[in-house]
Amino acid sequence: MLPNGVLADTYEEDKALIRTKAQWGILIGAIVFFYVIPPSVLSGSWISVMNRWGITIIAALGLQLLTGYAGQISIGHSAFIAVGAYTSAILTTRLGFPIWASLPLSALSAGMIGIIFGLPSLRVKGFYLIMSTLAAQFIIMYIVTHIGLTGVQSGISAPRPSLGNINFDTDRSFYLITITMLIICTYMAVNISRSKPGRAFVAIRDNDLAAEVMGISLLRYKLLAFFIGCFFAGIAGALTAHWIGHVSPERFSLLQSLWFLGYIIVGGMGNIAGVFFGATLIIGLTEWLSLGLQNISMSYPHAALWVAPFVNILFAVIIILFLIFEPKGLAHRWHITKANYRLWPFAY
Amino acid sequence: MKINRCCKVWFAAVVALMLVLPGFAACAKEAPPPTLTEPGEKVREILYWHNTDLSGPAAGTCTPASAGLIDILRYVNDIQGGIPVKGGKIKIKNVEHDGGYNVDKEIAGYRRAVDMGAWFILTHNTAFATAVYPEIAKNKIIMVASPNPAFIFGENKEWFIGAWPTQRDMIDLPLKWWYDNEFKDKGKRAPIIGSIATDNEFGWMGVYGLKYICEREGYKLGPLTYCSPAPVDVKSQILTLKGANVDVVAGTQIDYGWIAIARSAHELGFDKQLLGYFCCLPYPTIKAMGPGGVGTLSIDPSVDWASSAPGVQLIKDVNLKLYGAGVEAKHVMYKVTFTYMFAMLEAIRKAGEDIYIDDITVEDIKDALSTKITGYDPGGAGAPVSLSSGERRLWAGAWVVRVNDKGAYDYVSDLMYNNPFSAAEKNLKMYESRP
Repeated sequence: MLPNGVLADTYEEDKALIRTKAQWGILIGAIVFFYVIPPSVLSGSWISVMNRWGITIIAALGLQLLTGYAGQISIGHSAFIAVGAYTSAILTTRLGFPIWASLPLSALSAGMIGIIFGLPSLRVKGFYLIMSTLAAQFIIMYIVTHIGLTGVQSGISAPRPSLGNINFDTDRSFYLITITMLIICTYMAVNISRSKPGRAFVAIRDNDLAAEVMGISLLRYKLLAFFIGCFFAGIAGALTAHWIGHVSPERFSLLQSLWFLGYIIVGGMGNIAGVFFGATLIIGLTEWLSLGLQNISMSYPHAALWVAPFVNILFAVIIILFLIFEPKGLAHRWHITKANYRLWPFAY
Repeated sequence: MKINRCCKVWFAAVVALMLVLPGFAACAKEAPPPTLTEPGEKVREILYWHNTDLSGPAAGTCTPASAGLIDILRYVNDIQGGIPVKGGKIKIKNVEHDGGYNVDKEIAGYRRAVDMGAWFILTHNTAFATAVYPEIAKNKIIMVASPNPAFIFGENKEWFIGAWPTQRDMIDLPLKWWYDNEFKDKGKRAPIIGSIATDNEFGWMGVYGLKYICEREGYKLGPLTYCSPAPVDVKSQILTLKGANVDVVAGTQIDYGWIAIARSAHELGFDKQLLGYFCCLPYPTIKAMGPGGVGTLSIDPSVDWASSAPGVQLIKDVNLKLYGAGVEAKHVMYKVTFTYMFAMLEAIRKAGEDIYIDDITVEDIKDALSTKITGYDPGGAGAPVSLSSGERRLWAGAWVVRVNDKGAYDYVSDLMYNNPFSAAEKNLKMYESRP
């Protein structure tokens, strides 16, 4: 919905992503804000949180396109992130590729692996597809932990990037890469969701039989959804590897995959903004509670020992409350707020 | 579901309350302890970051470790007034960070520790330690963790201290004791050793060690099975081991793993000897293991609670001073954490012997840990400690212990010393392939 009085006169205007001057202003303001404020204001640990936040959103954007838009539920997302992370680390450390070349290659490799594990989606859906992506989680991680190329026990190091004389060897400088990739990936995701494939994804999600009757190739679009979803995961994996500087299998667990689903469910399924809301809420809450516990431990060390388990319960209660009271995700609340603002002073 | 306005108000109130509570708790400061310094004496505070697990699968082990660390630091700070150094006393501020055995959460905590200028980071998760080990020299932070060869022989080894015995030593000592005392005479053959390890960096270290031990001693290596860090059932692994007719099962497991092994073994009537990592020794874990856990062999690197060694007496005295009431027997993780700190405190004291309190840096303590701890006796609470640039393990040996049917464990051996690392074990390339 556009603000009152804003009308499209041409097809170009109708298709534009940004339509009003105010939207341009907000967008440019937000970009400038994210490039300037966090690196100059936040401490090292909070910059680290921002890196994690950005990388998480990139991975969750992929899952949003795959699950939220195309309806193909995946609980193997962290394994696809692992594919990106290990590919980039191997290419840069063992084969001497520059990071800027390994990044797209990692994304492509994750996307290709995604297509392989997406093949069952042509035959099965729902719970059966969940089981098939669960297999991806275990098979990929089994391979990762059984081939020497990945470093197995020692893991594999991944160098920090550099561009000419500029070294991105601190969390603060790496944040600039994270935020740039986040902007690019968000732009890609938003455009994909509005494009022909994006609409085909939604049609398949809503009723794949009807979509096929309408001429949408299930083979093509389901596999494309897996490719795109895992492509984003690959980017996130490569960024994780070069941000942490080390890749080990522990980081890509099934639990992590489930959390990615959590991000898009809490934020809002089938909504790009929902990914931002979900990741911000969950990561922010985790950090906040962790900080709270840390402060308790500094004042009352023994109290922290028995408070800690309750922090997890507290976290779970908050998430459950969100799901009960905002079942359509935080993005839905955001849309209602936006609509109210745009219609104001009218009620409808 | 129709949700009325009242519900929404309640929801908002509950969420707000939950979010604000930790903040309020943080604002409330404990009354400052009495100052025990002389007039004109300076007090300096350094930060000891404990990356622990208070809510995850290793909580049974890590919670008593946290309690041990908190108590010895309360003893140092509140009862002694700090560690005496030239020109004053150093107090150690402790942060308990609950990483929940989750590497991402732990790394986030590590970054905060670096931000806060922590001098030490104590951790129990090998995967986390592996991830941040390459950074410790750059960040000038002394890592205290479960040692593995990448740490004790790696590039940054002078910034590393092994607070627990290695995974290999935890199998080596009880296996040697078991072979000498319970198998050699009646077996008349090489024993077959099987393994159930957690399928991660922590577990793999035990498997590398087991392979080396079998090669060294001429034991026959049986099936090497794996499970998740928090399994609920390992019957398929037990059946594999049963099928291979193993004589003993070595486990490199945290609490949940031990509970699953003992219960699964009991349900399947598998009565072979279990031995390995000392996460099976916390009393709640022993209780949860049930009858299947009785007889499990492990090691305790600290002396028996009933001992009259000054180190143990100190733990009892400190508990008496801090809590007043009768002191209950503390189990392995509490004792180990309490007593390993003796050597760390000694290193800080020695670093400050010649350097004025304001000028002491973390590098001075790192150097003291390499050069000034030789033959240090932790009050008889453990084997004498000798550290050097090539020896980063605080525990030179341990006592073999056996889980009894009273929910505790008995010491069955005298102090046994660790075997030195072989050249093959020091070759870090070995750890780049699957054990």
